[in-house]
Amino acid sequence: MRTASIIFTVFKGHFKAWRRNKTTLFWTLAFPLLLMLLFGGLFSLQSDKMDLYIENNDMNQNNPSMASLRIIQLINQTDSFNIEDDEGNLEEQTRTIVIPKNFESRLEEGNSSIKLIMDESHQTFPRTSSLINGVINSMNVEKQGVEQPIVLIQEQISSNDISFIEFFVPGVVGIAIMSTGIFGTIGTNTKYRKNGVIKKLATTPLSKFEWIIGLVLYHMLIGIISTSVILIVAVLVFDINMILNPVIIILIISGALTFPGVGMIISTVVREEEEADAAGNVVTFPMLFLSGTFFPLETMPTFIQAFARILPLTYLNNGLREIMVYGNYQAALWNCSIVFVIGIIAIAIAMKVTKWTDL
Amino acid sequence: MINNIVINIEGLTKTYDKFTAVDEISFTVNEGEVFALLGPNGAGKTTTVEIIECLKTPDKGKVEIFGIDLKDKKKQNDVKRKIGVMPQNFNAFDWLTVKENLEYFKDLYSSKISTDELINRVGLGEKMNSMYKTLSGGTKQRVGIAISLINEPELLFLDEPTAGLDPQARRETWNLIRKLKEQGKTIFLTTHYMEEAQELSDRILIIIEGKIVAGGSPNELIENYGGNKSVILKNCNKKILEDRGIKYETGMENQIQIIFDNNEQLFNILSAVTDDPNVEIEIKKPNLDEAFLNLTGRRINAEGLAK
Ligand SMILES: Nc1ncnc2c1ncn2[C@@H]1O[C@H](COP(=O)(O)OP(=O)(O)OP(=O)(O)O)[C@@H](O)[C@H]1O
Ligand SMILES: [Mg+2]
Repeated sequence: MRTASIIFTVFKGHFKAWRRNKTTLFWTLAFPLLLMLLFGGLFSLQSDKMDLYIENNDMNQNNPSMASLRIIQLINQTDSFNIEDDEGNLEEQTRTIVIPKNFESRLEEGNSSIKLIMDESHQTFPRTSSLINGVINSMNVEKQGVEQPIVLIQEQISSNDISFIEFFVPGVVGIAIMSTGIFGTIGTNTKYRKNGVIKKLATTPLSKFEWIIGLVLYHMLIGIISTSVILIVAVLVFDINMILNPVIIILIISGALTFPGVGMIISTVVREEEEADAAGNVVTFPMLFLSGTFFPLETMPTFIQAFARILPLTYLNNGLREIMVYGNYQAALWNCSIVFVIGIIAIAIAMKVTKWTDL
Repeated sequence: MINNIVINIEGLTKTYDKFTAVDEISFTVNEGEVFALLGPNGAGKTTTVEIIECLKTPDKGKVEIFGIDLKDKKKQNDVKRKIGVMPQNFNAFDWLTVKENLEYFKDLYSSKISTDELINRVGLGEKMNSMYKTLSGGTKQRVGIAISLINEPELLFLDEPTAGLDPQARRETWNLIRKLKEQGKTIFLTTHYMEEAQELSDRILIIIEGKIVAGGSPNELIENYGGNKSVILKNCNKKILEDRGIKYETGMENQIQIIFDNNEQLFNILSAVTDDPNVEIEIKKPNLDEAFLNLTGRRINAEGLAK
């Protein structure tokens, strides 16, 4: 009871200081937002045409039928698709249109169809299906007199294709939790050790365990706050769907053990405030680029992938992405448990190596 | 009497790597007194108090506070609850106000004290809601003293409480310390200002290079180490003195120094120069400064330690 109230005092103190200090507010809130808006904006300037794979089975002696050519032409005229017709693995396509054999002949009979193979839950599904429906409608209008000549059949596939911004947002959350955790604790600990606050605290009944736990709880709270802000802005600006689930909170909590733990360990070797940022950069910089924040790890050379597997941010990013984008609880929880275990180990080491007396 | 000793130190030694910062020192502090550890920079004052405050582990020696031996780590928390500490170069939380800082420390002790009352007692009423980082050095020190009183300790440690303050702020802090003494608190002060030690303390311990050189009340120290009373004369005709058989020393800029022991000798000197209106007369009484100078100066130091 006494311990709980002391921890709460420490937690409250950190939180008030955070709220009032423009520098810490910048790094925890504004910086990740700027990062997201900058990169998200840059990448969305790219062509927003969607790739569409068309499999045309309506052939007359190796020549596509007139009707099938017409429908492809109409799809092209929507100006929304990059039409690909080269041989590819159908499984790998996000959206595929299949024009069946006898498309033209059955059109005359008034019961033709085309098939759209796509994941219904995909972010671009509504847009795709309404565009294709529009195409079918204009085709139907051309074939006046025949009732409902073409219908659209949808076939469900599950797809892993996500846009850059969907990929990136969980990474921004990961970066925010990592950098606040590491820079925040190194900064706090070196500053308070240098200006004598730690010394003063050590003369009170406050123990270093209570101090560390208060600091961790504070990082959990600002992790939740910055994640919320990032997600709200992401949804408002980029109009994306993110799956919200309590697992996200467990991930943030695990991150708030790991990164402040790492920060505390580093701050036992950093003596001066000036060294604090340099030391923080040494640790955060590789993680920033090699933990699948900006690019999927699979696109990187194998030795980098191997290296990424020892970085805790990799698992935090993966976990956040699995839950937020794919809604894959199992994968998210698996990554989360890795971050959590690293976090417990980091905090245990931090408690051991942090000096409270004999500074 | 054994029961009014609050601090008992015997053979205390602390070494950093190979450097001995505190070397076999022993002393006691009595209840209700202002006790000053006086010494130049690097003498080992902070090291000594921080050992007593449970902030540092000694290499050798015995430290007892309120009869509790600090070797017993579990008892250290009992000690911490009974003492108030203002470390050297004290700082509180920059982004909390004065009142919030006090509330913070109050919570750590689960103390029942009224922070408003405490704020007024140390004269911080106007600054109550100011952010700590915006305060002047003197006010910060005052907040430090207030925080060290938050658990209503019987024993207060103030490590250089007026270092870097202007004379006005220093005087105010002194008055505050006097008030605390009147309230019956035992105050352990470290300082390198002679005047501060002389003004405030009942007993002074002079520490140099980790060793205790002398100790006693300010008056005792002045008497024993303050040197002689002397008259300094400027623009004086030496012949007059020689005629009267007065022994003198010539200093810089034709200054003449004459040492005397009693009023009769002083009268003799003054009557010799009384007819010359050009003579400037200055009478020097020994003070703690002098005593300290004598103790820290190589020559006297060696003699003093040899005794
Ligand atoms: N943590 C430490 N590691 C190594 N040497 C130290 C440490 N702390 C103090 N010292 C050295 O021990 C000696 C005594 O230091 P201490 O701080 O006790 O002196 P002080 O009398 O309080 O001096 P000041 O008036 O400057 O505060 C100094 O020479 C100092 O450099
Ligand atoms: Mg000191």
